[in-house]
Amino acid sequence: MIAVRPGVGGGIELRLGRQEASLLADLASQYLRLLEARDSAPALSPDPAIARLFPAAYADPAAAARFREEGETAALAQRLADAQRLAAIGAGRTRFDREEATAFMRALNGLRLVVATRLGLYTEEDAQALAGSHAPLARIHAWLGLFLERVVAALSES
Amino acid sequence: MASLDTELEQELTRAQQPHGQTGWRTVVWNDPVNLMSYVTWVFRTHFGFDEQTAVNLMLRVHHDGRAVVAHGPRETMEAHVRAMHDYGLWATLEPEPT
Repeated sequence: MIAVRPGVGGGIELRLGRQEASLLADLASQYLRLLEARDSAPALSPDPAIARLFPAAYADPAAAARFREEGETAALAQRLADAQRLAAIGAGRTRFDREEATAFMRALNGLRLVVATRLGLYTEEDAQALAGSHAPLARIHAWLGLFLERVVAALSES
Repeated sequence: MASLDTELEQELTRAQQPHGQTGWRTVVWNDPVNLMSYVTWVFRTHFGFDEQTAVNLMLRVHHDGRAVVAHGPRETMEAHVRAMHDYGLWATLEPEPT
């Protein structure tokens, strides 16, 4: 069971069943490990999942490298902090204020992007080919999409 | 649709780029993963667009492959791009065409 409702002060209230909480904790800890293993050297990663989370800001490689040098440590720290919060969520009810809800949503979306790159989902054609797939990772991707959709809806209402 | 887009573009330019300033712009690119509702929420929340403007920009990203979402000085555009990356959107910045 996943229930997401608008909360007080622009936040959300999340209710997770035991199975959903367990799945989320497992995925979140893998996401956290992936980020923790990220070398802080500012260069385009050979891992497509990391490259997707930290994309190039400029078409020009020199400008893109300079942009990375200036900001990637902070961007990685942000992702890590968001992922730690995601990994700490348990079964039952959790209340988030607006800022916590935004961090939670960023982490959920980041995790979903990683799963998408592991599925080789890069184009609209890939997405169509994947629709309705019963492969375990494809089902996890669809589940994360549903989850995120509910969080966005609750946050838009609150 | 085309005329609406042009109007929106001009409105954004007027709102965000004072006269005589060296122009840069923030571009958001389409990807098959990010949810339309999520992208719309990010546009509303980060840029403060109303719902209709956010939806129009999201649809432009989706259908045209990219959309210009902000105009202004380079530093401001870099801050927007960093925020978009934090949200998981694929964004770049580029000089205004001359």
